Amino acid sequence: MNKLLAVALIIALHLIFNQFLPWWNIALASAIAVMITRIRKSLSFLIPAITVAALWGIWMFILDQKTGFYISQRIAKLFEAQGILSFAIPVAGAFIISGFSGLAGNLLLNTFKKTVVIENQMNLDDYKESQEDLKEKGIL
Amino acid sequence: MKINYKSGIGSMICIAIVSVLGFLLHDGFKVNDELRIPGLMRLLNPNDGMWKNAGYTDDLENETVQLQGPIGDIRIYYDDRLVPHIFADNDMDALFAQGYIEAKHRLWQMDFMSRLASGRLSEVLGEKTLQRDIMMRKYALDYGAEIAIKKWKEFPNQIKKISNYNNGVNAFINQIENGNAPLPVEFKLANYTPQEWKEIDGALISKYMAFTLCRSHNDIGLTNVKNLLGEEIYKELYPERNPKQVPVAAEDVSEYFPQLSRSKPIDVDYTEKALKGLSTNNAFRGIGSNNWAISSNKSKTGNPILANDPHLQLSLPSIWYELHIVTPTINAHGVSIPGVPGVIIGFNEEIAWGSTNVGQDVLDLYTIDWVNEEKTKYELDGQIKEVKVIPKTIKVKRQADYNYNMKITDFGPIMYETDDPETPDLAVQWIVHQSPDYSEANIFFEAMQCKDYDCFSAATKQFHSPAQNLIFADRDGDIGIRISGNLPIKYEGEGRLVKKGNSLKNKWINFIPRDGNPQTLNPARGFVSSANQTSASADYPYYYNGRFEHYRGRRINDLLSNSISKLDKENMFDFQLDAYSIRASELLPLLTKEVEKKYLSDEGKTILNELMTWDYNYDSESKGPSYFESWIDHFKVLVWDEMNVDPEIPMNEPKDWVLTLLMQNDRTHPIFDIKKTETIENLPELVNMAFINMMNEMKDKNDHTWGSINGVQINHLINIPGFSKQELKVNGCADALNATRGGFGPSWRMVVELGEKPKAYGVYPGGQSGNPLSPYYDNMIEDWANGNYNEIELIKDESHFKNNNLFTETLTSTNE
Repeated sequence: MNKLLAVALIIALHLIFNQFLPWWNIALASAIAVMITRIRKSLSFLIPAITVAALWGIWMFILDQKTGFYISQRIAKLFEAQGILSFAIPVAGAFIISGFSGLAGNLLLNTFKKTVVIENQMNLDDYKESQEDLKEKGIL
Repeated sequence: MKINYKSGIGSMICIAIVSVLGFLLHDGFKVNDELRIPGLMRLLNPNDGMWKNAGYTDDLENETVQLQGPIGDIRIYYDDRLVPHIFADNDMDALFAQGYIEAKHRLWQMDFMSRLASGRLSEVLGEKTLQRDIMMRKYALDYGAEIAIKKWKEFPNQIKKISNYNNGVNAFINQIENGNAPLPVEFKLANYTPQEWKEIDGALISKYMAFTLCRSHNDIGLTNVKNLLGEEIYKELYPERNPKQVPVAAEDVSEYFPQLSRSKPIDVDYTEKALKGLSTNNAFRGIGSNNWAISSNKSKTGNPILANDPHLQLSLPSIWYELHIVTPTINAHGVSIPGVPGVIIGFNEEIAWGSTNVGQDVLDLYTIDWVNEEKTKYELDGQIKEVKVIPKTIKVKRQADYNYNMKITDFGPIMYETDDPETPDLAVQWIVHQSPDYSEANIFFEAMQCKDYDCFSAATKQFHSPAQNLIFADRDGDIGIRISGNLPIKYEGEGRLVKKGNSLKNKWINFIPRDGNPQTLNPARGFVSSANQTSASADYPYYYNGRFEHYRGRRINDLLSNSISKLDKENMFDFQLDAYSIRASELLPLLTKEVEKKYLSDEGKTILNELMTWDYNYDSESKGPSYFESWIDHFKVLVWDEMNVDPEIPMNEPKDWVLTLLMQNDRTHPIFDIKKTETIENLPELVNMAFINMMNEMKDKNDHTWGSINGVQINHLINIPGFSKQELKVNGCADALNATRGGFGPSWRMVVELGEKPKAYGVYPGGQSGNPLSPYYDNMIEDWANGNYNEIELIKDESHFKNNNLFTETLTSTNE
């Protein structure tokens, strides 16, 4: 469920950020979505990477298809390359940037989540201490 | 409170990877001095990258745009070539709409041209364009543009028209800023945004046309010839008039103003040593144009026909933008230069007009005698004068600014400076730096409303520069041609050589009154024509010199005079596409007759045979033109060795028609001797040596057909190969009517037959859209290369376009 939520959140945030931020908002969208949905480990890389790469790929395909697949050829001509590169370059870039941003979000969360765990641990210790106190006092 | 440092470091590494990668993919990076990779993700992302530019200018969807500026609703109907048909209820709205749509389709081109003219490319393109900027700054076009605008402002009605055009441009720029239109691709590539369009930008584009068409001068090259090779060679090999040429105003009807004359000042010519280390940067061979108009008597249908094809540097986006403007007072179709209001070459219901370049020399150079080391004071008429110093800066992207001082003398700006201690610095007096008499920016907007010659003549009379042979025809049968432009009154020979800048008497100050400019109306021969040849015959009272073409004019006149039957539009097409070279027909027989055939190899015999059977037509599949051009080039290197001794000392080579006369009349002329050899050579020896050199050159080439050798290309304005068209195989050469050569050629071919309804045909090597990602970017090139024309109908009935258009764009006002 979290995974689907992450995908939806990445797409939603990216589309909102697009209104006022350049393309690199995919990094922000990916990191924030991972932090909110608390996706962990390798999924924190893969889900944003695949989501943004696929979104961009489909988006570009639709735009290209509207022009009868003319635009990808013209863009590729600029770089004196094959038309597929017009897709491959941005998709690969989006994959890497979004993936590492998601991972950064997860690791950033872990950095401070650990603190929360420690605090919880301390609370637990306190709890245990208080339990022992209560036992000593014969309450428990 | 503890922190998980392992995760912290990991996240920092990820953030660093994303930041570095993001920066490189957004801003781009330099690989080496030659290659810089642009910001690929910035360019290729689907949200605001180049994908967004797909179909924007030609999306085929009707739209209504609310803008500040229009008085009423402006309807723009785009036809199947993306040519806009503008319907406005008044002229001011038409100007606004022209500005808006030219910006919509060509904004980056307009920005580029303005920057190019003023030497500001480096600001957005970096150090690669710095040398070009420095060169352009020497011509001080911004200085000339500011002078022109000062004059324009004396005519409030005219400046209002310019403002309305500019408002249209800025309305589109606002659309980009508001996110309603995508930033054009080239802005994205170079990562900058357009600035507000101002009067100076339009003026700079006009001045750049003057730079292209009237900067040519021979002063330095001829001064070196005279000073180093002697007066005898100078007089013999550099005559001013070709006796075979018929001038533009063959039956001149201009007025004479005897009170205006100028005599040669004493000791005016610079006669000292060679002028070293000065790049003359002259115009290229191939720039020029053709126009002609035939009277009703010569026309098969009885309707006058006008044809025009200006030859300019071919580029993508094209220099021209085709449009049709309809208002209660205008119904005109033709081409404009984006940034300049009005139709420059075109037609309306009553008249057609066109232009070619005049070629008269309007740029003179003066030696400056500095009296201080800082080079800020100079001697003039026995007094010490101080130059006006204007500090200037060229901003360079990612580099330090380049600062310099522009120095203005009493003659004009200092244009040439050299490190050679014996070569003086040179100041330039150039028509482009002179104030016009009138606000000439709207001249074509006014001319396109005319219905007869008197109106057209009055509207264009004040045209300032670059001087043009403006041709005219109307449906009542009048045909005429007029040299329009500000032309100085000179003494005999003035402007051929560098002059001394030690006296103001050496400077030209008066201009020929406009009614004194050469002009012809309804000549007896039944046609008017021009192809950059001389302006008027020997009895014209004012002296002029310049860079004139010697073959195309003769060819047009031959074709128009010698036709037995009457002419129609098909003949006009054939003439515009004519690839016959008079130059080759005169020179080649003189070369082939000198060849020692008995010493030729089989290969040599084959080549000679190819040449001797060649019909002087520069067909792309023919090999004859390739052999001839190579042969004559090698021959000229041997003949003109005296003029090419030291690349630091530029000298003009004599014209080909002079070479023809020499070969015909004096086979043992000393000029045929190669100076560096001990023996004395003559014409036949040089011809045979050149033939061997030609054969050796051809051995290295796989394809000898002319289409391959001529190498016609249409490059993108910043030479992006993927946005250019290269290796086009087309007929023609620089001196054929179809004047194609390298990156130059007919930039717009137009034929108009006037009558009850005008019938017009036109094509240019490009497309209406300036967007390289649009199919309308270069869609007309194939037709142009194959010699096809588009039929153009002049329809005033708006309902016709409502039912026959690709899409409609309505500009409405938000001025409530």
